This record gives sequence, C-alpha cells and structure tokens, in this order.
Amino acid sequence: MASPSHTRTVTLKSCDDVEFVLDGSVATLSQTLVSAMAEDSSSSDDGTFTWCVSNITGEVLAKVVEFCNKHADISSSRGEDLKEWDKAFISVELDLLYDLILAADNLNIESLLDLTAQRVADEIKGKMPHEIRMLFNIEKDFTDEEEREIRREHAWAYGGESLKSFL
Amino acid sequence: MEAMDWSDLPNDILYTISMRVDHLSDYIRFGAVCRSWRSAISDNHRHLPHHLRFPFLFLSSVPTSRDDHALYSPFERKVHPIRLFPDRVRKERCIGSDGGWVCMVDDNLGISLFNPFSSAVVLLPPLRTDVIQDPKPHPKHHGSLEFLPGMSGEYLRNEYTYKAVWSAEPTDPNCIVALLLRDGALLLQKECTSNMAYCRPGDTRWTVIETSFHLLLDAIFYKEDHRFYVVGCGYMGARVAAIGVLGEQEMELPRVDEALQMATDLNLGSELHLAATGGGPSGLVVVLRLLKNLNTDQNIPYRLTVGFKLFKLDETETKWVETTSLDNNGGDGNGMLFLGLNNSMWLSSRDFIKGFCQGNSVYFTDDDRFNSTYYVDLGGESGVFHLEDGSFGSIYGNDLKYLYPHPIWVLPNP
Repeated sequence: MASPSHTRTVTLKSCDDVEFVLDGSVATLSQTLVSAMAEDSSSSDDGTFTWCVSNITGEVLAKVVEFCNKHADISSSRGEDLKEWDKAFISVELDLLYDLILAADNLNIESLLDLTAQRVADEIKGKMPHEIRMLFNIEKDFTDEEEREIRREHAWAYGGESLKSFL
Repeated sequence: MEAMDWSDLPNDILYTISMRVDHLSDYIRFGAVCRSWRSAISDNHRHLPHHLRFPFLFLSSVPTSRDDHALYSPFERKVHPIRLFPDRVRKERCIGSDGGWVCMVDDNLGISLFNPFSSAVVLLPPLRTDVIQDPKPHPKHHGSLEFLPGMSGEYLRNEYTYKAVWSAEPTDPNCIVALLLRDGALLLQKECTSNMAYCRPGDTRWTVIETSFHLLLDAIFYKEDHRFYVVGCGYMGARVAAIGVLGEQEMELPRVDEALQMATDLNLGSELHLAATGGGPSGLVVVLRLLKNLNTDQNIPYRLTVGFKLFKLDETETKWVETTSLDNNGGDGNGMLFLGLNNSMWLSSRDFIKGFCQGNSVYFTDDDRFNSTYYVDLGGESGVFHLEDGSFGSIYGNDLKYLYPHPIWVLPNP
C-alpha cells in the first residue's frame, strides 16, 4: 500500500495527457491525492503513484503544480514573501481563475481554494449585481419582479456614502 | 473558446467565496446576482460569516439626509440611508435595539419593532389606548401613565418611554417585549416608582407591572435563565433584580451600591448598565459609566464620559466585585462590550480583522436620553474605552465626532 509519507513521487496526468511529476511531500497539499494514495493498494512498491485528473487541462494543472511546489517549499514559503508571490500568482484572467477554482476544489487544495475564492470576493467588492453579472458573464435568471423584491428587501445595501458626504 | 459560466460553480465553492467578502453590503449583493449565487447564501443568513457581524450604528433623522434613517458601518466606514416606513410620516424615535431589530415609538405612541437590515416590521400595541383603557390606574405612582389625556404623544413618548428590551426574535410569537417607563419630570418625588410594561407581538394591549424601583436605569433579557433583569435605584441606592413579567415575584440580587461607592469618586455622576456574559446570575455584569458634568464657555451644561467600571458577582454570588477583564469565553481579554441605548451585547475581537477592533474594550454610544436642545449643537459622545490602560479611542475615526439623535448599536441580521 502506498501512503503519502512513503510515496517519493506522484505523477499527475491532465485530461489532455500532459504529465507532471511531483515530489511526494508536495502532493500532500492535495487532500484528494492524500486519500487516493492511502486507499490505493495496487501501486508499486517503488514509491511512485499516478493520478489522472479527467477534467483539468495541462495549462491549468501547470499552474496548480507551480502553486503546490511553492507552498510546499518551507524554506521560501514564509510570511510576507509568500503573500507577494500569491498576489502575483493569482493575477490571472478570469477564465483561468475559474478553472483554478474548480481544480483547487477537485484536488481539494485548501490554500489554493482560499486564494482563488478571495480573488473572486475582491473582484465583486463594491460592485452592483448587474456589474458582477457583466464581469463574470452571468445571465440574470431572476424575473424583473423578483429582482425588484430582492432589492427592496435590502435596499440599504445598494447605496452607501461616506459619513462626511452624508451629513 | 466558450466563456465560463460562473453561475455554474458548485454550491460549496460559491459558499466559500461568499464567506470571504469584506462587507455585509457585498454579501447581500452577492446574493442578488443570480439564483445559484443566491442559494449559496440564503441558507446561511442566520449564520452570517462571523467577520460580518460587527455591529452597525443605527442613525436617526439626520436633518439633511434624503431618507429618515441610516445604517453606518464602522468597518466599511459608509453610511447606508434607509427609509423606515415609506408610507408613514410620523416622527419616530428609537428606544432600543437587540438582535438586529430596533424598537421605534412614533409621536402618537405607536410602537413597532423594525429590522433595518431586512425591512421586516412587527407591530406592537400602541401604548396610549391601552393605558387609557386600563381600568385600574395607579393613582399613587406618578410613574404610571395616568396623565396621558391632554398631553401630546411626542411629549409623552419622550418623557415616559425609556428603553425597550425583548426576549427573542420578534417574529417568534413567544417573544416578550418589555418597556421601561419612567417620568423624567417627576423623578425627584419620593413616592414615585417606575413601572414596566410588557406585551407579545399580536397582543392588543400592554400589561403594566409595578416595580419596587424608584428609577429604572437599564434592563436586559438574560437568555441563560429566561428572565428580565433590571438595574435601578430604590430609595436606598442602586439595586439589581430579576423582574417577573409572568406573575413571578421580583427576585433581588445582592446589593450593588457598596461596590459602586467604593469605586466611585463622589464628584462624578454616573449611569448604570447591565450586561450578561455567561450562565446564571454570576454571568451578569453591572457597568458603571462615569460622567463628569461640565459647562461650556457659554455656561451650557454638558456631560463627558471619563471611564467605565465593571462589576461581577463573586463566586459565592453574595457580593459584587470590580473586574478589569472583559473575557468572552477563553480568558484572553478578547471581549468587546457594546453599550448605549441598545441591549448591551458582547462580541469577541477574535472574529474580526486584526487591528480593526480591540478586545477588553467598551464600545459606547451616548445614552443620555434627556432630549435637551443644547445636545443638538454639542452632540453626544461615542467612543471606545480600553479597560486595560483606561485610554479612549474613536469609533468614527476622524469622520465625525457627534451625531444627534444618538446613534445606536445594532447587530447585523439581514
């Protein structure tokens, strides 16, 4: 049986057949991989483990692996430096962000899920629902009447000004 | 390439995102984007992310505003104007706040509970007709409302209705609303006692209870043992008691005046509050707000809060002792007490972004209900008092010092 601590390398295979080889310790960032390795009884004793991610492309998986390598590297991943690195890492187009969120969820990588979710939360900050829809290419599926009611209930949340300008 | 459909994200991911927004207004608008985004938050409205639960200030009748009231978010540092009752033109005054609801009394003594975050309203019986119809007025007690006929509703409201507290979410039919009544003009008369009145939403009238107190100062509903507690003055000094609104006897707690006297410089005035931290009477806290009475250059009197002192019952529950630590479970001084015209409430500084708020502190707004005109110019006083070193800070930053009518803390409950 392969276990996370004994597995030296993990090979991740994307849906378009791109392979990435990870150090076993890096792979432990993914709870999905940890469980899969723990449950796997067929793997060889040579300390390798292969996992196919059927719905993640090579382009996205490359980013995920980059993230995991950085975050597993204890010597470089501390404090402010890592924050700066994360900030640069997550400055991606929204389409890629979408794929990264799904990949983080699929592989159950908590720190990546946190980072991607925070990016989305930052994007919607201060925006009106129609602006959020436009940004994220979402169709309004409320009727006009429903939308009026939703807005009426919490009308206060759609306006806001500084205390000075209010007085 | 086909564009991604962000409404397609799995519910748990949308939930994770919703938990990360900075402000309550962002959270509300998040839920207004589309059905799937809405479903990610609507199940959790009652369990708001902790960091969004920092109290707002409920602002009344700011003269120049378009709307009659507003919510101020100290965290967002934004004012959100609200229209209280779009169909009504009555002059409303807020006399209490608890669990995200405020109690409004209009100038005809109509009383309602209003949730400024969700616009929900629960109407309560009007005070006036009820008391006029009371077959047994209390001739001895000037604090009762026997003088009602012939006086304007606004005057009676300002003079008699003092503070409202309630036992549960007002939409719960078992909720009991208790009203502290007191008559500012007659305080000096020895015979005067202060009454309470209570009702449930749906009742047609208020029931008046006589108390043994000369003057009621504050009340809380103590969820731990399902009683209303009041602090007030008897003829012999300050006392704390549980008030039975459903026929039980008043239950007196140990005397508090001795502890207060030892802690108070006699040259200072004071205001008393009640707060609750945990189970049993030992979780009750008596809060002493120390006031200095000063005069302006034009010889106009005003008051200034110079500190707070807190008292808890000791282990034997026979004596009130001073405490300098505001712990809200965990014992690391994370407790923040929100004090003013609201029902006193505790929050933990650990739930909020580091540096934004401070534990072991009292977040206070003005609680001087006597509606003197000079206050309009001088404003009231609000701030943060740090128990550890006795220093003061500001709630509004440099935005503003004074607001009148006094802002009231209100817990987010959208």
